[in-house]
Amino acid sequence: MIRSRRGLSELIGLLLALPLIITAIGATVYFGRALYLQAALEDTAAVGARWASTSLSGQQGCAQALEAMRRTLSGYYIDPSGARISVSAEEVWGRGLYARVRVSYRLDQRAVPVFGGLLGPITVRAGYSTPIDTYNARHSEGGWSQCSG
Amino acid sequence: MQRVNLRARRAVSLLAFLLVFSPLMVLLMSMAIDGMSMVATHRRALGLADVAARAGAATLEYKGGGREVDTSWACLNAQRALCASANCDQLSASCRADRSSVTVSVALRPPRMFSGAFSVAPEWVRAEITAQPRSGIASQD
Repeated sequence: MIRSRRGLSELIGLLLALPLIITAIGATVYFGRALYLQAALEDTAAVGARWASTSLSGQQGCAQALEAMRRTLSGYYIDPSGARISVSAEEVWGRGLYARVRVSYRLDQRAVPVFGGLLGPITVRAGYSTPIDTYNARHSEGGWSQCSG
Repeated sequence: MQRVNLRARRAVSLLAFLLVFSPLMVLLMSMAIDGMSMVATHRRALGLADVAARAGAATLEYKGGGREVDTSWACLNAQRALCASANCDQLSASCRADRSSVTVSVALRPPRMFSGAFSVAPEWVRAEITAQPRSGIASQD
């Protein structure tokens, strides 16, 4: 009788502590995954901005930025096919263009306990705008092509 | 012989465990989340400083065709590039330029679970990039 009471008390203790532990683990995994993705996308967008503005021809700038961004994502063990990447150009600068590099990723969080069901999937975004100097990157000779992937 | 109330002791030990363990768990959780938040914010600050420093270095040129380098023009372009990529009201930045390089320092506030005395992450995360014209990034911190 005493042994069963002791077991019951331990079970109640476990039942009290378990939701707390699962919630803490769920929150850590949910936000940890999102923040890891945020750091990866920031790096990816920065790499894209660097490659977009260091091309000597307008046709290659966008393509090499896309390729560099895909490789960076792969380096973080993130599937590049799931990312939405866009590289566009805007005339807002007297000496050339601004390349706008954007990357977003929809993170499926359904498997994460508690918070996955509560908050659902999240879309993480990162982007940079970098000037492309006409005098440094002769893009004006053939125009600067835009691309997305 | 003194009798020991085991049931009362067990209840006290469970309560003590929950009282000690819960704040500890929240603290560990905030350390993990704030740590990742700091990494993501530092990555953002590095990217912004990178874009600004390269934009500044690309426009480092002689003033009016003379021998004096126009460092303020380079820093102005660094600031323009920075503000095109981020909301400049929410960050703190500085620019230093000399004849051969432009250094941009960017500080951002990382999102934190707790503020004040309970915070485990710093209030500001800083990143600094030095770029030289036509030679890319010279140093980063």
